[in-house]
Amino acid sequence: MMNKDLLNGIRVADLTHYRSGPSGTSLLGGLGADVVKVEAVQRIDGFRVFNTLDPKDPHFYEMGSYFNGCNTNKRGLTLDLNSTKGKEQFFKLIKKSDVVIDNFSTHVMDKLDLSYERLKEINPKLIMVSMTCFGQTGPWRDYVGFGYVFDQIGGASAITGYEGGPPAHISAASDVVSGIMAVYAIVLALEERERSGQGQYIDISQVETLAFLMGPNIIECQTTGNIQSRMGNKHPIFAPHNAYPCKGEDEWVTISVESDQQWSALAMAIGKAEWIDDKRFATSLSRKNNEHDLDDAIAKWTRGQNKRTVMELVQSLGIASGAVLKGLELLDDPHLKERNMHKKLKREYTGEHHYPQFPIRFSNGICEQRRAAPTLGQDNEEILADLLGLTPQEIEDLRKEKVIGTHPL
Amino acid sequence: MATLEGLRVLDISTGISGPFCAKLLADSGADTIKIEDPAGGDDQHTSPLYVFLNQNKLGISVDITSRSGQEIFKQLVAKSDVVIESFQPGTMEELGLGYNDLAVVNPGIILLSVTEFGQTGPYRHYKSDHLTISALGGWSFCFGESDREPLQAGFPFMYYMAGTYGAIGVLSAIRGRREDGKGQHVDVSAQEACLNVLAYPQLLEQYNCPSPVRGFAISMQTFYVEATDGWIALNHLSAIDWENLCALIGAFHLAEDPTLLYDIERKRAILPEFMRIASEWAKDKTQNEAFQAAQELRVPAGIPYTAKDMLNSSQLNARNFFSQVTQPGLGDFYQPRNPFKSISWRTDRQPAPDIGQNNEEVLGNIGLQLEELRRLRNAGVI
Repeated sequence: MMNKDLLNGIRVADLTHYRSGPSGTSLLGGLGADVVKVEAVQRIDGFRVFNTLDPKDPHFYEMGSYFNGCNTNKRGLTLDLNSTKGKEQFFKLIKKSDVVIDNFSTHVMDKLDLSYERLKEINPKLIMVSMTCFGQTGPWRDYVGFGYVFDQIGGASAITGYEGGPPAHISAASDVVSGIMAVYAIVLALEERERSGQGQYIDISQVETLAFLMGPNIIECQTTGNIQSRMGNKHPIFAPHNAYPCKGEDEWVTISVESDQQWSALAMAIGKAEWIDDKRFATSLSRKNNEHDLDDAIAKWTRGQNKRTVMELVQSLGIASGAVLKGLELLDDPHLKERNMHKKLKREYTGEHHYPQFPIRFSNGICEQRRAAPTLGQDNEEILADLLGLTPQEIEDLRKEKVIGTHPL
Repeated sequence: MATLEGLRVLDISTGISGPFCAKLLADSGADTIKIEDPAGGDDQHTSPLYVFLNQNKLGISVDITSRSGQEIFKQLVAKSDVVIESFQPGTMEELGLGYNDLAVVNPGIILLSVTEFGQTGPYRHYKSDHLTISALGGWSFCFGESDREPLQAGFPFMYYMAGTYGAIGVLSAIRGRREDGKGQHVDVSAQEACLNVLAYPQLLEQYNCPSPVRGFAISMQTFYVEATDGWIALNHLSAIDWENLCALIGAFHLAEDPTLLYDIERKRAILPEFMRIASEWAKDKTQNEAFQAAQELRVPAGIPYTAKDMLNSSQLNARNFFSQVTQPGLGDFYQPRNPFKSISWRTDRQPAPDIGQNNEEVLGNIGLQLEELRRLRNAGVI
């Protein structure tokens, strides 16, 4: 079978920065869309300077692991959108694009004269996605926020954390929730355009994309009055259900027992047949009531052992268990390795590294890491000449006027 | 008219990932039929999770382990575009319902398998739950406090992600089908979805950045302090945020040295002082007063909202985030509308079906007569 580029022919003008938008547009590129990442030498993507290989390197803005992680599969263009000439080229790009996406604060696009109404005049079938913290409307529309604020107002923080402890953010992972939900919004809007010929404007509140996932909790708090508390790793009904220490420094394994039969099998395997009749541990209810003692007893067993040995033994009993994998272990995990979950990409300034693949595998289509994140303005010439029809002289003029460039100002 | 009207989806999945994927498609207008095991019915059909995942779907019950059930399933496949399943890898093949079997009946069919570990690899038959996925997907190690056990997120995060990736996979495959009419098998793994939400711990190490250390405060970008009625989160990302934050709580001296922001060790050293001043500032304010005061100074503050707080939120309500739904057996309640504003969504919300609720309607449409349905019911096939 031929492997198809499923989003072949779709062009995305990508104005997003930091993580939420870029993590989504990287996936669109992985699916075969031509994603043109637009930065400016006057204003580079702020994520470029996060967690860098070498902050003192003169090319520090090319060394950021986070930036390079979520900007794969894109071409890099710089345009000063505050300048008339930069805007002119951007409008030409919009004319040749299917989708434009931004994650600026409200009003930024309007101030740049890049509102949907304006861009629609240039390209009537355009799909525009704007990702803001709270959305384009409502009393908080101009309030500021980033991943942590989405985690908090979106409802994840209040239910995440240790039992009895303070609330915890979810590492701003709600950025990725929004980014991936934006991709769903886009493939759905492309489908709409295919059917009705209509483009559209999509207003994404990044708080709402997360709050949407709290649906069951929101329903439950009205139907039973129950408001979920922080439970750490624990299950409301079953035990043991936690992460347990293993041999070595900061090594852990999780075990999730979900029935009395599983508990009996585990107790036998541990060599503690007496636990099956132990009043403290005999039933799900008694194990929940004595969970502290139970966790101590399990930890006593796991502590001297390798985390993978425990996982394999517990899994052989048909019980859920997982070794808590650390960063580089993800590269060597036999399962992920067999599934080629990481791909080596080479990039100027930073060299070769293994980047995680996307979680969608097609029998007759491609969804993969195709190229490393663009260096600043890496594809200026190619895009301006081949796509937007500029002469070498015109490109040189733009460079002189700092409308384009490859070094931040 | 919702975008996916006319697209028929058979949802034979259980758990969260598959049903959530089918929910996104159903809410986008797809004619979605939830197929359950006739013996699998229980009171869970009115649980908040079930209701949330299964609205806007029709419900039928078919025993696909029986020969006649498999025939009915194939008849449905012949008239459908998408099948979503979440069985242990190999199960569909054993039932004679693998991708190749279905493609014989309907070459355009798109089969989405959304599972814990994917269709291949040594863990494909492993037992799993959200805790297991979070461990093997690299989430837990980075999450929690450094002197305590690693943690999962407080909601089935990775399954929702897997379902969303699945929905993207389905619509991409639909797009690809336009060219040649051919469907395909799509394999989505929750473990791999988990790897995609991480803050790149495997890249950080390859880049020789400081190894990711567990600890909620480790990024030192968010601080929880107590207001009179609960916690308030003081966050910052940029140097300007930090200046504004220090100005907000009256700790101007901490903003004087801009290099402090990027020096985790020095930041940790001033943490006790910062927290003392911030706690003092917050202690006589309500969460909302503190939040408003912070945002007025453009400090990206947050409140760890509970479900109840969300229902009462002036912002969410101003955007009509909640709409009232009636679910037989559960009553009336408000629930979130869809996750972004688009013309693509259905505007109505039909209750989640009871088991086999639409058997006659759906199976009648593929030509089964009442007499035949009665016979199948008596045989336990539906």
